[in-house]
Amino acid sequence: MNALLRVESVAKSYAGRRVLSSASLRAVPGELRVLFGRNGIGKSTLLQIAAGRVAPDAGTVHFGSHAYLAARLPTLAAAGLFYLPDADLLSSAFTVRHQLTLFQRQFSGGDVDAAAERLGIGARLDQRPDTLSGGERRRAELAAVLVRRPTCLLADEPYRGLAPHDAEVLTGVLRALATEGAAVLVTGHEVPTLLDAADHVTWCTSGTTYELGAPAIAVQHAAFRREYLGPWWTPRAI
Amino acid sequence: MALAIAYGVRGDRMLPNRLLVSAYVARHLRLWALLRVGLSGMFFLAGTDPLRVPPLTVGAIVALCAVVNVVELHVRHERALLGNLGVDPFVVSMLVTLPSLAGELLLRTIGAPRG
Repeated sequence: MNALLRVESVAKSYAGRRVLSSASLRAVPGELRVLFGRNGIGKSTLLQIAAGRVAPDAGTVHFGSHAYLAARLPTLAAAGLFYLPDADLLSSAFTVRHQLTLFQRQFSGGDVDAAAERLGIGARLDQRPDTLSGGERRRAELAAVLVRRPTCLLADEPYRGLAPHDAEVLTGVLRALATEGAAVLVTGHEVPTLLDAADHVTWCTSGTTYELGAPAIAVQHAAFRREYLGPWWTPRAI
Repeated sequence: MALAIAYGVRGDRMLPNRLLVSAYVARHLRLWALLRVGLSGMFFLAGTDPLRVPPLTVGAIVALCAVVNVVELHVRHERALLGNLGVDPFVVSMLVTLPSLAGELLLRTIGAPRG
């Protein structure tokens, strides 16, 4: 299937330090893709470029039938993209219900109460996000995703700091979105969880990216195993 | 597939819904009112009628409110929220500027009959 989101040959430097030299990324409808890479290698930068939050020095972002030299999140969001940052999507100024309702009204989205119940935060809807635990906040952000019903979700380290139960809920939501036809792309270091959940692995290293394919194939990639997974990693049934 | 190169500024700007506008206008009006009360005390002590400040000062008050509003947006990490809601920077700039401008115009209107 054709990619809904394509990031092609992007480069980015910060203060003279080249983070990305020629990196590419794809999000395909119906697939849950994972972007792996060591800390500081440029995964988040690449995801932010894809989401229109950071302007690349070179390269293009394609979303749907449009190509953008300088994509912006509001434009991409209006076209169906949702960017879940690594922390604090929701504002501490308004209640969770208020913010979910904003998504519902703006995009004729799904039912707020149903989304909250599905994620087990029904009782927390009238609280502000800063009064919730980290796991509850993450689930509230996922409820916003469910209400928004995006065609493409980019999630930056969504599993970070989550308890196993919350991680399981997150995986369920990501898989459900992909099954419903959304293009889902996540980053993270939770290798077993992500390899179990993903359909495709992309590896970001040395300023570029490699499409490694299905998880079962990706874990056989010698350089990926040596430089990212580490020598302790033993492939298991995926 | 025909590709249109866009430079981030497109004609199909998404307008915020009324709930979003009312939430931000209410918050920014509250902030303007707080700042204005504080500044009015200073004007009063300086012997200036707080309702009849010069246009340049009005501009400075509106600019100050806009800056404080933008800082609050950053502190509360609301840029990603607004971006995901399809609200572009132009609309955000209107949301942080217009409430205090409207408030100042209202004060000038009230102050005008006093000569």
